[in-house]
Amino acid sequence: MIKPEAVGLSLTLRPPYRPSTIAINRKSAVVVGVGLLAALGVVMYVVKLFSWGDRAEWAYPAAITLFVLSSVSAAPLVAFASRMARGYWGLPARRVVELFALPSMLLFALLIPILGSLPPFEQDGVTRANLWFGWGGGAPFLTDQLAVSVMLLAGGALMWFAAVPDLAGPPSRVRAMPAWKRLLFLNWTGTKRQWIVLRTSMRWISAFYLMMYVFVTMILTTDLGQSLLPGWRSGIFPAYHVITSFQGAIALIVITLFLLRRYAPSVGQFIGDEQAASLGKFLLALTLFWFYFFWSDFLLVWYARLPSEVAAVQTNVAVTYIVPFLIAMFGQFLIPFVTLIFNPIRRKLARLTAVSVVVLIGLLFDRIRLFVASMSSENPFSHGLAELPEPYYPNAIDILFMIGVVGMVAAIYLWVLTRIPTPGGWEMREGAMYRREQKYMHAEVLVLGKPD
Amino acid sequence: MQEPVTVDRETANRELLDFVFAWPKWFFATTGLLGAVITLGLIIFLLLMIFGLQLFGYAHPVYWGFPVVNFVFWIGVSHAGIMVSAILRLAQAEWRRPVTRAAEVLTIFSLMTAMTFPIIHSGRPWRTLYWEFPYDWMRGIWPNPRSPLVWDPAAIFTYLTSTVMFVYIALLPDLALARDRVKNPIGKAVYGVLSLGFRGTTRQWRIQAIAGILLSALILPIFVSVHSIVSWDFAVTIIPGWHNTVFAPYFVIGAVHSGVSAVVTVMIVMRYAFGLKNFITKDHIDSLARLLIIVATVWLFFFMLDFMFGLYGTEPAEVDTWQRRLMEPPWTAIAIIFIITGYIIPVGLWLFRRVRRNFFLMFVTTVLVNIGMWLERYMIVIPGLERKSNLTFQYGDYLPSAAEFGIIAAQLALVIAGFLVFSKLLPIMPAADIKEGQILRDEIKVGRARVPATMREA
Amino acid sequence: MSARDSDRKRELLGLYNEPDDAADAVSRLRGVGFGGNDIEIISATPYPEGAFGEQHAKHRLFAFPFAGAACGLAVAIAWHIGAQIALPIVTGGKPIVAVPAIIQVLYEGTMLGAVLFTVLGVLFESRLPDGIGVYDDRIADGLIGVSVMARERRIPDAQIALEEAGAVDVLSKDGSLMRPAAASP
Repeated sequence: MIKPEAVGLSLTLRPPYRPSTIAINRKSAVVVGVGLLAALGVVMYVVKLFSWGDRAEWAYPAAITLFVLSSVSAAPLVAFASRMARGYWGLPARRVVELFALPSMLLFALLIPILGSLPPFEQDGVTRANLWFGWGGGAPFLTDQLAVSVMLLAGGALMWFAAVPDLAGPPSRVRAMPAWKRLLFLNWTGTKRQWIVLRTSMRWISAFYLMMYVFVTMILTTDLGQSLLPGWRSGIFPAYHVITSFQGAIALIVITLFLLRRYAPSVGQFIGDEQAASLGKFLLALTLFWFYFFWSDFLLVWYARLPSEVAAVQTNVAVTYIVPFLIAMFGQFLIPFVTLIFNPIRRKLARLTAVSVVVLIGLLFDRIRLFVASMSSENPFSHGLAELPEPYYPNAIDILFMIGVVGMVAAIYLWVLTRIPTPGGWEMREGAMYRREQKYMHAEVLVLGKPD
Repeated sequence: MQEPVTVDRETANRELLDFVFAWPKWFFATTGLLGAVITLGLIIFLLLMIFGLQLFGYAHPVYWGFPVVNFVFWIGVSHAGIMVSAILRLAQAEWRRPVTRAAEVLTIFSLMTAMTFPIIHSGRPWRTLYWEFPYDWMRGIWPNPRSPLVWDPAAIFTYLTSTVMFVYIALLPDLALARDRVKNPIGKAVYGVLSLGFRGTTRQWRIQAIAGILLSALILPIFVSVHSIVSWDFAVTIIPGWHNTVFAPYFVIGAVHSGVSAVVTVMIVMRYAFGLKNFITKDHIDSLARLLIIVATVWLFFFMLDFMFGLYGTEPAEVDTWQRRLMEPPWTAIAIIFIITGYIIPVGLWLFRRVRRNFFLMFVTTVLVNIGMWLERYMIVIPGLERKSNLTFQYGDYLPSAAEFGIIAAQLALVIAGFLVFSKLLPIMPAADIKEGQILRDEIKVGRARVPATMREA
Repeated sequence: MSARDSDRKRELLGLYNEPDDAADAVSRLRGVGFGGNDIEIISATPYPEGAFGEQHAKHRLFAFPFAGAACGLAVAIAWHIGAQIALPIVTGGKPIVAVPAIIQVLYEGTMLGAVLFTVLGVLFESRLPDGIGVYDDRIADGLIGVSVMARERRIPDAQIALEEAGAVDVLSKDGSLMRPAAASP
């Protein structure tokens, strides 16, 4: 049971609550380190560009890109879920997760050389399996990048719209702005009508972002995964990715909240075990879903014993990439499952953070076993693997590239934290308005309002 | 505007138990009619025993017909209870209170009905034991647990047992209430035994609350496994149109779509038939409809995955099956009706608040969903089998016979009758749960507005 | 009265119209030295835990599903692996003991065990079946009962505390109405 003192959003939130950005000491070792890693990422990206068109060279970059898609880009969806469920636990976390929309924009740049290295759908009269069914409209490069761009724009718009009431300042300031800036700030003066429009548009943009996210996941995982490994045909694969992305997103959010609580008191004062209790439940559920989706895929191939399917599963599960698969299984399922079923672990942010780190490591290895296997496959035009491929190991540049991408994500996130007030002010104030702690006879209770 | 349930304790006790203690005339008429239809089903079943499966419209190579379609359909409907009850309990959704019991009871009776179909389908029910249970130990004959046909009964047995236990534990306080209110001494004795002496001590209430959460958390994974295993009856084979890895979640979410829609249908009927207007409000139907929009859209996504990844490999047999499903009569018509009634009309209408809060329209749209979902199962089961393979020397069209339609009607009547009889004997709404909701109800004043609120233990 | 009789505990049940009165009764009983497991609130509706100032119920319900799951899994493993070994027929080219194919039934066995043990745990922790407590049908209509287990010699203290809090009636173990304490000799 969560005790009132452990509740993040306690009565400390008294109006007027003024949201602020986070002040970061640019000379601290952590910030300098993140900056260096980001610079490393940029350098490695440029170095890798010299391998343009060599598909196998882009195998590990593809894995880390899909890892970013499955954690960073999925994070803003948690804000949507929290708003839909009107969950109080999510109030201090919503802005924190929406800000991930900005580092998520790295996807666009990362995908250019990766998609550019893909072979055509048809070669010497033979067509490889694909989701575009011979459509010649620039698939997969243009179609995938277009879909990714639309998704990223929706994520950015969601982040911006949610932040406008906190950024705009008093109406007099907005009225004094030049026209383009006023437009950017949605001419925000906080009228009732504007609030209604803002909420409605946020709802629709979030729903649109979710649908685009699912669509992008489906096409990217197929174009960079199944379509390149002969004999691999799995309808559940996109859904597996969506589910594991939600798992990765929750893990990322838990880690971020933990770090903010530790190092950013202005945010940390609102983050407590209430957030852990809710996020822990989701993480446990998604952990079970990992097994369910994996098993639904594996069992059918094992049972039907079609040679082409069996060879594909032997490649990315049972033989060639068995080590990354085992790390993924332990990280995404076994360890989180046996730990998160216990309340004392699930409901404490620090302990949940430790499990979340394990989950993210598992997710990374999962993406490696899936996408390195496909991107490095020799002949995507055959109907099945004649023999199992050898594992494709990363070289130093691949490893530095992956570390650099993580650095770039962290650097952009740190930067945006200094620009947009966190946690969001208007939602926090509104939440406090509808929440009260009181006594009911001898018991301490929370009264939670649910406005229509 | 939200409409919270607001009745005093006395009215709640009276109205919630009214149907248990009263004998309205329509009850006899309805049970009589249902009894007649069930009798018809029994006669058909008897004839089936005598004349065999030739009474059905099977024609080589199709030997999985209506019984299998109905089996999948009723298993799907049975997912209503646990989906609505367990998930909403875990999410502490306040509006769940009047909905849970009916949903759980629907689960029990639809599951029991579903279980009869494999028995009918086997043609020689007395031999079902031979395949499923190790009855012949002396000769060393054991069932084959590697077969999905053994997984199925294991899953259904677990699900049925768990659901019955879940309902029973949640029923204890209401059985005690019935014990205290009933005048008839026999009734008092029966309810007394069933309620196990439940008095409503603090400890008992505390355990009830934890049990609700714990059993919900345990039953949810079972609920997911049941329809997944049903889907694997098909998907582990290599029959075109069936062998797709997405089948398990696709079946589960389809079941939820069908089941929650059935719950809405039942709730609306109960509201008028049992005089529960104070308890089933527009808010409940609205909330369920919102849930259904999400469920239906996820279901559509999985349907699209099934479709796209059916064609993805461009394997001729798969492509042929999909072509038959979508492009050849009568399947084209069935596909169109299924997608229109299963998604386009209902979800299109549910986007409008006015429709979500209209009992008549919600009744119609949820019935449409189940027509669509039945056709979906029909479309999954039959065309995959209708394909000529290299070893098909004899080929005929499967046309469902009158006997099969008769059995469908009888099974529908069986579910309704089961539900009705349960409602007659036991409270179909969780009285204690509803009254707890009244206690926990509060409001928060913001300016001049009063916002409905709920108390939670801190 | 023998010393043994005066040592025996008896249950008294005070009935109240209002939850506040019931909470008051609990405070008064505490005031005269009753505590711990001696006091129980009986109601037809659950109230937030601790609302009456009663002690939090300790339980071990969470252990039951784990024990059940372990038993269920053990039985399922024995049954299904045993069945495969007892009738070793190769089907579909699968091994005789085919683990992936029986994961499903092992899972169902585990879950069934967990559910059944949880149900047993619920009954055990709720102290059911219970046919010995004092009870009154009016509780179903909304009255709230405060039950107290008192030794024979402390019965008058308990009765006075219950009555002073505004009890509608005070009942003794066999359900009979207690005479008001003030009228007692």
